Amino acid sequence: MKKIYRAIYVWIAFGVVVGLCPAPIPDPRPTPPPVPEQTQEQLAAQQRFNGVQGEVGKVQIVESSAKVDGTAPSSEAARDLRTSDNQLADPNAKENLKVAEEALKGAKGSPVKSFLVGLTVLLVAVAGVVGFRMWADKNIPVPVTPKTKTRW
Amino acid sequence: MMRSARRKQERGSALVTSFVLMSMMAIGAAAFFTSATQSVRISARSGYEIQTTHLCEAGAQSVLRSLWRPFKTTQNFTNLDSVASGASASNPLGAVAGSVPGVGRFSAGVISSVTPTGDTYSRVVTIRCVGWVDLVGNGVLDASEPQRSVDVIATFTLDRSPVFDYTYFVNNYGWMNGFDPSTLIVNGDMRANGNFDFLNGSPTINGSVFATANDKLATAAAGLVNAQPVKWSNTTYASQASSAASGAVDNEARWRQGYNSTVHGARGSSTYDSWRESIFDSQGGIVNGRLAGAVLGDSTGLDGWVRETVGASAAVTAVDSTPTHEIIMPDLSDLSVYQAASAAYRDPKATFADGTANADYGAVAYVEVYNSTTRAYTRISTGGVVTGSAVLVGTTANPVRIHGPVTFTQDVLIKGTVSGRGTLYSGRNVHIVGSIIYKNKPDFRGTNQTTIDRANEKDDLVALAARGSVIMGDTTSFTNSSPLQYMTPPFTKGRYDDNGNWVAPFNALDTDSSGTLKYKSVLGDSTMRSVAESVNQIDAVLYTNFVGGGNIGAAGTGVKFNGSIISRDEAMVVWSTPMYLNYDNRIKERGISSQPLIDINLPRSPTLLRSAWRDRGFTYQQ
Repeated sequence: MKKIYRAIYVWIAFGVVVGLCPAPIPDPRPTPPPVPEQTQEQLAAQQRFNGVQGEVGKVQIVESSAKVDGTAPSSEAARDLRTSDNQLADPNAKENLKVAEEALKGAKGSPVKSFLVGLTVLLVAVAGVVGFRMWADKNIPVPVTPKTKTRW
Repeated sequence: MMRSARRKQERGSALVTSFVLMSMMAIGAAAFFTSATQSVRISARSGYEIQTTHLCEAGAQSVLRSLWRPFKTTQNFTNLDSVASGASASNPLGAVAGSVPGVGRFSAGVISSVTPTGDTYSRVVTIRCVGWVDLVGNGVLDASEPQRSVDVIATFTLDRSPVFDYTYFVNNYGWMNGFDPSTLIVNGDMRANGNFDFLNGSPTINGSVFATANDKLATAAAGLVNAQPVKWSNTTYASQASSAASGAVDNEARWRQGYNSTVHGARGSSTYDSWRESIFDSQGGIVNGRLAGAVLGDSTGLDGWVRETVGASAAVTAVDSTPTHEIIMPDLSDLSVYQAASAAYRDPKATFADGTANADYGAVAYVEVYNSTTRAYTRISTGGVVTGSAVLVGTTANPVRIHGPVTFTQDVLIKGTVSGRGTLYSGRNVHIVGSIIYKNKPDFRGTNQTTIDRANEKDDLVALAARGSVIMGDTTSFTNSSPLQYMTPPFTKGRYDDNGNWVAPFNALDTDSSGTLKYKSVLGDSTMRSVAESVNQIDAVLYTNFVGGGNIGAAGTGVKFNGSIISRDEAMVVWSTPMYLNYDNRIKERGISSQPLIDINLPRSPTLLRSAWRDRGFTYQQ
């Protein structure tokens, strides 16, 4: 009994091994034999075919069928451009540009320079006030205040 | 008394002093508010100036985009001329308007389009833009609104395409399948506008390999090179080139030279700079601010690499993290452009660089073939154009003579010996039905570049450019397994053009307007059988709008390809090895002049160059 079972096991194992082995399958496609290059004489003989043959069927000179996704021109945009051109040609526009440039230049003055100018103005103002006061002390008469009797 | 007088003085000046101080304070306050108001106006004006500058740029970009996209797609000036011809400042054309929410509005249009004298491949376009802040809110430019006007000058050019800097260029998918280092040796650079895969082995690539991210393919490509191929060192390259050089003039003599510091100078030297475009340097890197040597480039950047055998792992060195970009392929879909160019061609070269006269100076473009029946040459082109198809078979004694750009409206069947310098444009297919061999071959060896160039300048150089496909071998022997499976979907890839239109994948089994299958010749199977043989050597630069492929190497002796193949899909099936792909650097642009050694009027591709920005002024009437 044991021997029988052992034989069955052996045959099953053999079948599994054989079944899983990669079988060498020859490639059915034939390898084409090399085709030797033609000789110069053969080529010379074939030069009788040299030449032009007329067109066959229809020849499309332009084959491209791709749609072109151009943005549709805008008449409003053209009008704006013309308007802009006229406005920039206006002498007032050029004058405005000069003014704007001058203003930008002034705005870009250095902080040190602005401080010095401010300090100078302040000193001149203080000197003016002090000078005016000194002048007034010398030249403006003291107002006479009439004596008044206090009435209780 | 003194005390009394002082009190009187104090009493007398108080009113005046107070008045003066109050006046000064009033003046100061007024001055402050005036200054503050002015500052606010100035800052507002500065803000408007900046806003309107960017609005003008937006307008310029809008017009350039509307002109560039159809130009890039059609690769001719038809749309641009129709839009911009006759434009002037008083009559702007192709005008567009738009707005940037929260910023302002812009308008822009073409005010001038000029064809430079003697240059029909360029248009100089002037675009006027106005950007303004719509304070009134009526959507119209009013005189009082802040506005800036700018003129932008741009040049649209159909220029020599950079695709011809490569020995192998494929738009859709670059692939090398089943080669080992000894069966395919590429001496030149390779590129794909998509992924580039080396599968089932590694060929030897003595040059750079580039892949590019491309979301216009049917399946978007990440733009990666999948592996580092084997590459020779400079020493190995030199020994390989010299070992078989004698008696191998169709191979090693056609290799570009390997870098040798004794001959080509130290990297970075002026001597190196003069050679760098025409030599192979295995060490990739940045030299004098430009890429030099062999690198792998893809969407992740550029790397140098060392891998001399299949068993060795590649040593990779990062060179630059800049990703690669798409290179626009020329498009031959409008044959009239090339017919006109062929008809207008006159050889412009009076003398060669060595001082000898060019016998063809001033001559028209032509093709001449020898007829063995009449025993005489026949010029088959008329004014540089051939209406129909032609068979061109050359022998060593009586080669096919090619001069300048010649356009055929349908097929070209060509094989044998060719001589001259020029490009054959076919309205349909170019069928390479046997080896194509130059009668006068270039030789890139030597130690003096001037001497090498002067000799090679007068040697033969031919390009074959097909609006259809470049098909190699006898089409009557093609089978579905080889090579037709590589010329049909799903191997061939569809794509979207720049306008989002679907371009279906090439299918060799479709019938075109001639009533012929796309991979076959209109000349018929009988003529094909009469002249077709194995293709074992191709001395030519090949360009095709669709597929470049077929059966090659059927003689069993391997394949020598001295030139380039530029295609959208590549389908070459190699029946014997080794195969050599050797770049012909005579077509590569060099140095400051950006001129190749020989200009054979190769297909052009569109470029756009912005050359000037003229600020015409800013106005704001506050």
